Amino acid sequence: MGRVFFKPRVAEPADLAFARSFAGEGPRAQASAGLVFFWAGLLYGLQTLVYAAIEAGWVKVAPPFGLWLAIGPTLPFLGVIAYVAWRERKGKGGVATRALTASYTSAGLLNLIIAVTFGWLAISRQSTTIWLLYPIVICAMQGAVWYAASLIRRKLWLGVVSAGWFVTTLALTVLMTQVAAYLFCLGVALLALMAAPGYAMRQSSPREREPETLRTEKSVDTGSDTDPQAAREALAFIKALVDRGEQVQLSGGVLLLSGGLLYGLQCLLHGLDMSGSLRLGALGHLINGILPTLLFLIVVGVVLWRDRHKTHANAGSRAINAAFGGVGLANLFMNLVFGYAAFTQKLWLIWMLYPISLCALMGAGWYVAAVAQRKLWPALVCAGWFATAVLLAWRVETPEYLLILSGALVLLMAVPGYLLVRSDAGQRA
Amino acid sequence: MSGFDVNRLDDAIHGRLRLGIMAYLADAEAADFNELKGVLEATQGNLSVHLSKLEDAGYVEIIKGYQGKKPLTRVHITPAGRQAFARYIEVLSGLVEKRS
Repeated sequence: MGRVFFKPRVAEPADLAFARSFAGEGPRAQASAGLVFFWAGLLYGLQTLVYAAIEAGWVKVAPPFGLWLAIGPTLPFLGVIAYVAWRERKGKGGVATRALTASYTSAGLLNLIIAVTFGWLAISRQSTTIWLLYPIVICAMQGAVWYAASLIRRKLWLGVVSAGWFVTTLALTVLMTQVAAYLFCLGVALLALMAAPGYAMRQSSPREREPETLRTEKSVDTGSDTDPQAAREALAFIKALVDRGEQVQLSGGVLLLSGGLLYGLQCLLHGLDMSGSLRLGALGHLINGILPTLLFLIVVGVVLWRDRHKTHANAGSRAINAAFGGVGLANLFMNLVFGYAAFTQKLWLIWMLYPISLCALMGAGWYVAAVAQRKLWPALVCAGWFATAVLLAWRVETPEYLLILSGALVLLMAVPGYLLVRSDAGQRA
Repeated sequence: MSGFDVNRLDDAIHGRLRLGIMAYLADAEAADFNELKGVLEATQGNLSVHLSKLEDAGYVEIIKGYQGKKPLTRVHITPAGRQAFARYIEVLSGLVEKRS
């Protein structure tokens, strides 16, 4: 009978189910994500290239075909999504695989929020510019997702795809006034940076999933017997090692706390000024506009210096911190995109869309944290950010807009930041 | 190896530390040496010995490099390692089901 070298904890049926599903979940999740990316990139990439050809005057489309062209890719793509959701319904990954899958899913959620908010604003304001900003936000989010994937899986090619998406984000921003070139660039990006990597992910995963082949290809010594009790304990050990969401720690509590408070106060003062409850004056506006960013950059500098040698304790922590790192990177690009577009188009409304995108990005980041940690409060924060994005779109260009944003920054950024700081201090003690 | 005995486990994986390494890498795909040392609560020497055994079996790939001026050892699970781990779990699960 085999030795008992595991902690004496009796496995439950859940351990058995988890271990069985877990062993192949990484490649399975990769194959599913690859399938979704491949079809999304192919269908929407080709659709966008046809639109580019129409815009350039190379192709003419009669009205009934125009409708089919608009909705055509969505119908088969919904079929792909339904198939993947059905296939993955029982998948149980470890915390890193869960976080990576959640990163991919969060891009879909953000797409939905941005499509609804920007779509509604574009229609209500009769603005093509607003609608053209929607794919740009999605490109930045794709950059964030692939960036997180490259840090989680530690593969260079994923980082190259991420860089490609960020370059596309900037290229589309510059091409906004030349719609045919804009659409052509977007179509090529969808094919090269979504369909092609999706195909590669799909192709590479089955090779890792066929245990049968190894039995003939490679002879290994399978000499040890074990007793069922030791086997149960081994399964429990595996589950405890890779499935504990409570081990996953999100860093950057100080940044969230200070950012939430500084920008929350900034928005509150601007909101009160807009509503007539407070008069800031020219100097007040200047100080309120610059000081929070100045102070926040100092805090960022101090935190980056303090944590320069810090490494994450486990793959789950690395995964959710990578997801938030991606959100931060995408936010930087969003800042440039909306600033440039608002300046060149001389339209203040465009700058007001930036916080809506930021809220959706924050929601996506907290979605990954909620899935990885399996805790309720990050899920509530995620829902709060998505709800704020919709509320802001509804109340854009009103004084309430800034008050809503101020409340969200304090409640959904500063308060979670404070909780993370306290949790971090508790663990160090 | 002719005939596959469901009661017999792959010796290269069969051990608390080696099983832990394989389970962790099956999820994370790659991990730094210090990360593995921390999550598995292992000593440096012990972890090195068990990683070498897994590397000899072709189940992990060890890449030594530098992060800045500090040496960095990174461990990746190989496709063969992933397959062997899946089979190990299959055997373990079968054992629990059959005899419980």
